[in-house]
Amino acid sequence: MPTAPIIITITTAITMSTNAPDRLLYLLQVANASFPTGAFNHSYGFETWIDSGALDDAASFESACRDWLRYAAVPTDGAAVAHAHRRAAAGDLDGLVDLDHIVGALKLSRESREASFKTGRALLGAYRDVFSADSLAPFAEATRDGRCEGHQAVIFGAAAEAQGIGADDAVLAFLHAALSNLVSVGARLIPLGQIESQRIVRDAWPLLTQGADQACTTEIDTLGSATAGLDVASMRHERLHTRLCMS
Amino acid sequence: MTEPSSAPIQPDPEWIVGKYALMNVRASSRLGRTEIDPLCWRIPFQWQGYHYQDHDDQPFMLLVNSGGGFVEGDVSHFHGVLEPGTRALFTTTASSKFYKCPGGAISREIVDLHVGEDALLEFCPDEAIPFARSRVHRINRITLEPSSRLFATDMVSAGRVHYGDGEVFRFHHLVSEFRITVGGRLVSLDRLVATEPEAIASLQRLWQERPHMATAFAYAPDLTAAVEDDVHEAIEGVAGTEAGVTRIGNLVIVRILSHETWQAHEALFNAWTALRPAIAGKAARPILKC
Repeated sequence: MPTAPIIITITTAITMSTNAPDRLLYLLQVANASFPTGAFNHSYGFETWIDSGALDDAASFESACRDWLRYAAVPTDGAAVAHAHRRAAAGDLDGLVDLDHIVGALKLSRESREASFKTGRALLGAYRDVFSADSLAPFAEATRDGRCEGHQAVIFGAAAEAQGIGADDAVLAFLHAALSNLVSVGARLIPLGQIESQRIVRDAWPLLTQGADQACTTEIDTLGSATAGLDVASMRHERLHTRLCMS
Repeated sequence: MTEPSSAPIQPDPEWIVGKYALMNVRASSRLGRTEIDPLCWRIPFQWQGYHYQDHDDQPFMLLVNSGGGFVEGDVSHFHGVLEPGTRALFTTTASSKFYKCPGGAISREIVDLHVGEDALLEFCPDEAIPFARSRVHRINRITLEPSSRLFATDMVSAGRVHYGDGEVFRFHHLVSEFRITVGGRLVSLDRLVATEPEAIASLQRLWQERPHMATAFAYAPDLTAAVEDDVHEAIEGVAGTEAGVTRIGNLVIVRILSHETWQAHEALFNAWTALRPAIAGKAARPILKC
């Protein structure tokens, strides 16, 4: 009986091919800084370092960005996107709520935690309204009734799954967007030129792909951040006299 | 209480041969004060009782942990339950020293503390020091009720800072986790995973070229609006430190990086000085260990 499996395979391939442009367009739109989540306005504590003069040129900023990407973004939010994707695929609402608690608890400063769930809730609303999608309605209800906060990484991963995006692509898009937003903060605050800003993002491509691979294989009980210096900077950001960023 | 278990804890059959230091205690309220009962223990943990350093109802208990330090495969597991309305302070006699693990196995230090309603836990252990080539897994899990109160510290030194030419960030594996739940909900998870050579080497940079990382956690249902401002003022200006304080609901978190051990200790004590009146209703005082 070799015929049936062959037909199924062909059908699947055609379906994926047909939807591929839509999936790419979805990712480009949701990961864009103009998508109304406010993510472009968060520095994760970098504004403190820039304010103190610790980061004052493209080289020092790029080095700090790469550390943040590798030792904070990838093993926490990046990995959370992948876990959210899997839990959403399994229809595991309780699992998403638990994951949301973990993502929030990993952020040790108030501003970084608030930034995460404020952008998350904005993403949740914009996703629903722009794409006329109600697939995340149960999770939205959980955020409304206080069962969870609604962190960006969790919603990004769950929404991507609902749109048929693979976990690896979702993580890569998330990390790329996060880095691009952070670099735009540096461009405004240091400031940096547009070309050197874009070069920082381009030069991080290998790190982004490597990070996405790592995030997709990170076990739930090893999510964690190693950037203690950035934790301090993020806490101290609350007390900066002049602040352009929300975190 | 969320996790009221006081059952004797047993070694995990997956662990390799080594010392299993086990201590299981329960704090109860009797005759207007808190008393601590040792339910079971196992050498090298030793039951040495406790005393009332503040001359009130709150016992101070010194954990005599692994004598000399953790060699490969050693495990210490401290488990405590504070019954509703009790209050206790636990500290250690000295730093937890983790020695080299040439066989590739892990040394583990595990703390599980369950704090009942209206109970107060002050947990102020000395720092953990992972020596060169050590492989360390530390887990601190504290469960609170919404009406519980907490002041807890956690500190990791990156090695023997002043040994020879210095021996920092030379361990081979470090997982360090400090987890707090309130009413069954996870509210803080400070987890460092440094298990690859490049990640370990990067820590020096990520810790702002400082070999000591200390963190204080404080929780109470009725913290004043300005308490984190008091903490900020208290921790500012300690020589050699970079520190910050934040507040998330009723949880205050202080992160400290320092060049020297004493500097982190001083900043932690300053944070305790600012927080203890609100947490325990009395002033902080240096903990006497001898």
